Amino acid sequence: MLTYNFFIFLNGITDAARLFIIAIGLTLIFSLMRIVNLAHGVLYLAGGYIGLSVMQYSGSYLLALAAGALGVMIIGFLIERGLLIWVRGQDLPETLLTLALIVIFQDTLLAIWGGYPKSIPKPALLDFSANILGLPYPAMRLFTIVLAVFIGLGLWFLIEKTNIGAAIRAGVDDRETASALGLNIPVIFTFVFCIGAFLAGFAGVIGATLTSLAPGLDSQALLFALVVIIVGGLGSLVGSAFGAVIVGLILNFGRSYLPEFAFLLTFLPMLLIIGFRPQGLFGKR
Amino acid sequence: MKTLKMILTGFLIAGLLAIGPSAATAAEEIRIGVAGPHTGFAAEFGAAEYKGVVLALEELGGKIADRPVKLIKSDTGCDGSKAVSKFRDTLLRDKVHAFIGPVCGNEGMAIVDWAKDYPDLPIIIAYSAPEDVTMRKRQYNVVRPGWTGTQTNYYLGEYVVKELGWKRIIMIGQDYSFPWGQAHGFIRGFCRAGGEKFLKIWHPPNTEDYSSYLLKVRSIAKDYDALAMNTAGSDAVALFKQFFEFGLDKQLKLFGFTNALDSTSLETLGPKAIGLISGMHYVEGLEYAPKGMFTQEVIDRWLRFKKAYMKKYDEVPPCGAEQGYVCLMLYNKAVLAVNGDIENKKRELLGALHAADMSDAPRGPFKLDEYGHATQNVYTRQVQKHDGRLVNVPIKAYRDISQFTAYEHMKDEYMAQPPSSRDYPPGDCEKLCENGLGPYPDGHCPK
Amino acid sequence: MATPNEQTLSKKTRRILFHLVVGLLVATVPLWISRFGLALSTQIMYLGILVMSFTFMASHGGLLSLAQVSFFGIAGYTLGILTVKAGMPLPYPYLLGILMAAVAAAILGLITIRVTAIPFLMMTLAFGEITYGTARHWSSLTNGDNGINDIPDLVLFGASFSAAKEPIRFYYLVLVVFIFCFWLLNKINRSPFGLAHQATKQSATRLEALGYPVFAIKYFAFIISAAYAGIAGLLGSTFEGTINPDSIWFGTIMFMLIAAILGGVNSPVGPLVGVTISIVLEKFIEPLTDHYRIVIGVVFLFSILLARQGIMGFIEKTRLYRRALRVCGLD
Repeated sequence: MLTYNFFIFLNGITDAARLFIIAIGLTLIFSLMRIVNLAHGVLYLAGGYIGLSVMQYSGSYLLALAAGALGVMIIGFLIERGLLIWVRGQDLPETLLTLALIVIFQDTLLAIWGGYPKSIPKPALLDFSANILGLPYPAMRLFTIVLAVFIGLGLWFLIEKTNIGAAIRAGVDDRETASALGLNIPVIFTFVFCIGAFLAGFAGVIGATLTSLAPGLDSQALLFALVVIIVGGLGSLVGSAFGAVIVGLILNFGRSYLPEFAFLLTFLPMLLIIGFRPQGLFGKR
Repeated sequence: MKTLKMILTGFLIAGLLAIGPSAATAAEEIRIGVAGPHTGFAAEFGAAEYKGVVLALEELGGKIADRPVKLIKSDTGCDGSKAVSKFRDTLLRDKVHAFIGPVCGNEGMAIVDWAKDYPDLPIIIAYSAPEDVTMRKRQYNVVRPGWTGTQTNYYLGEYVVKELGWKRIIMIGQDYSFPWGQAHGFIRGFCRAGGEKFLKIWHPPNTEDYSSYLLKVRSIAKDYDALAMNTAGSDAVALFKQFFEFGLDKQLKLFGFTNALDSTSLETLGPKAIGLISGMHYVEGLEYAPKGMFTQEVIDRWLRFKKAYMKKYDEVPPCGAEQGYVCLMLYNKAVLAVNGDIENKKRELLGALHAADMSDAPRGPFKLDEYGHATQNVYTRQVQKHDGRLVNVPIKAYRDISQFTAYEHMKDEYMAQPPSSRDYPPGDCEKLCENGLGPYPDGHCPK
Repeated sequence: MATPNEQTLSKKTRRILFHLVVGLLVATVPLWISRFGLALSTQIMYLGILVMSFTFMASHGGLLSLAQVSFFGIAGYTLGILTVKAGMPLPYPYLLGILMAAVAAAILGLITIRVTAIPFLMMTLAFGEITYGTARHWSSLTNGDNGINDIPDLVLFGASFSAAKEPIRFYYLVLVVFIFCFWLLNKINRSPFGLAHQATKQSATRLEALGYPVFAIKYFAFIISAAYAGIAGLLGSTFEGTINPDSIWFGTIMFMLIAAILGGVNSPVGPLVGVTISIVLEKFIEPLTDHYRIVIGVVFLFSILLARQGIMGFIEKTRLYRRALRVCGLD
């Protein structure tokens, strides 16, 4: 019984790691630029597809991962510089613009890669199942925890401890003053958006390796990213980590013990938070 | 307010004039609406149906009964309301004589009700699989040379018990009506053949992470023989992958119901899929069947279609494509039977559709039953590798299976039972007889 | 500019004449339009009501509510469940449908009306997802993914308005409902309540300082908008004869947004214009390419970037428009 629950817990944590990696790009862009990038889901999917193609041609997982992340970063750059720049600062048009991008991207991805389900094979190094308490557990899932921690710490370091991070934080807190002090706000924002897009693409490749790749999974990615940030608190990176853990645990314990209510499990954390603490766990009012 | 009323009407008029009077249509041509999803997650199925229809039309030289044929493609998006809207638009604007499609289950259910208002309009359904379209909700003008989930899985249920000795099965399935139908057929065949336990685990579509479902399975695996995949598409790919990752292949056998091992997923599933069985009325590896299963004639006809399709589209024909092809061929035969006079001989055309001889269909011979659904071969098929590709190959053929499977002689009792749902029929074979839930085909009940 | 005395017709006469022409054209649509066009006109009108409910919240309340589509769905499902599953006689399901939509807004509003625009948008999106999920999974109530399919023909006071068999009658019914909704909404917007509602968009704090119950105003506006969306839902599901989970989710949300923005969020005729353009656009582009969604997405994109106020915003600024107003005596 204890072993069983331990494994569900492990599932929850590894799932949380995957959800964190998916959500972090969206959180970053929202917390620093106040833009809800609803195109996050299709960027995730695009990253997966680019990674898949590179994997098919080169056979190198590392290359596929890099290509997926960088490819989407470039797309993000184009979106930010080419489109969002015209509506900078106006919340609603920005959000609507990202909605328009969903429609365009969904069909474009379908046109290029078709509708059959696909998947990215695991890198050879991680293509085994570790022996945990006498039972096999996929190594790739465990590695996802490592990746999530690495990304989380890396971002924290970047934002809290570096000059660039300080500039970003200044630009967010008080745009005019920061600009008056000589900080190049547009460049900073483009930089932030690109990192967010990079993370979305990265998440796409990892997701395609752990699960699969098909039209429709962009909505899943977006949905989970939104749930994680609503639970964790709009605008808090630490909140995303906690949000992901809560969602991951609820999903997995719920699926195991109450499978008939599985479809509610996606919204349950969100409903609870909105009911008891609408700003999220770490959100500011 | 008044200003606005003016502008309001101005635009209304301008917009409507643009599409107001209908375009002149050639009196001679036959117009067929081909409806299916071309956007969204089900886009490949609409595309396959259309490709099959186009290939068939090409082989007919672009004409039916010496009249040129125009195909009007419309996108239903796997949405019942949109399907009704598109069907209505195509009928009113393009004045089509018949429809081929739709594809998705919910579309089929919506259309069969819509069809009530147009009893002379032939609708030939290719892929949409809910039973009730040709059972409880049947319409004379709606025919289906396709399949239902129950039809393709009843004998799979029998097969796993009789041929493989698997009497205790866990099923993981997507929680919506198409997998419910498949489970329905399987459970009846399974229970009748002497199956003991059948555990259903339903999950919401697009689940992606099955770790906790598989964990639960792992904890009870010693009491079961096999795991059935009743999922499809991206879910099947994820479930399949994670099944092996968690080492479940050492404890349970794995197999699929119908579309879990669809030809379009095999390449993604990879070599681990070799040897897995499933049940379907269509096999893309028909030519590799054991000797004697088919006459040379059937194999040749299949290969001719397969080669023509591969030449034109550079891929193995998926099920939807063969069905689209067959729909047009069926319509062709019916129109020929009324000498091309589809405007005046509407009732006769429908009769001809129902009576058409489809023994030359690429998938194998079939005919339509009295409710307009195909009575055909159903195969237990296995994934094998031939000529460098993974294909489904038939290993056992069940011939002339109707949509009622073994209940062919008790249609009314069958239809009096509840329709397939999450809970019906129950996984417990003994409960199949309680509270009027239905006797077995030979009339007996356990105990 | 010629003085009124020198004009051939007086301003008042011109105005009346114009109304006659307009009324005549609209009323006689079924006579000069094709069957297809008639079906389209009917669709345009009830979708116009849906978009009206959206622009009411967006332009007057400053809140982008994606929940309108959910209210559309709740009304449609209520109709379907009560008629098909419970066998309730008409016309009560229609009333209950609108009521359920309003009740849903009343519950949702308690949570969401407090927050600002972006969280509001996300919450209504979440609500949409929950409605979709519930419609899909509570299959004993909603028939799950197959939806409810034999929604009966409209019958009011003994007269039948079947969309398939009597499309002209149905058109007139929808026309009457549309004109009533349009007129009512205009009246609401000009009333003290409506003006206060508009003011909440600009500065809620100032309004509160003046003693207005800002929350209550926004809350009731939300419920009214839901009732409108509910009416659209009843008409829509009766017209199609079916309601299912997919028709109350993303595709319809995108359609509503695109129509609202294209038409012009701030113009009273924006919804009708936007819906007309969106539908005509779709019907024309779809036969040309499989990837018509990309074209529509691009049009939407450009509209957001270049024509924030939509077509009406663009037109209202032109001289031709002002001239036309003068000619028809409407200035």
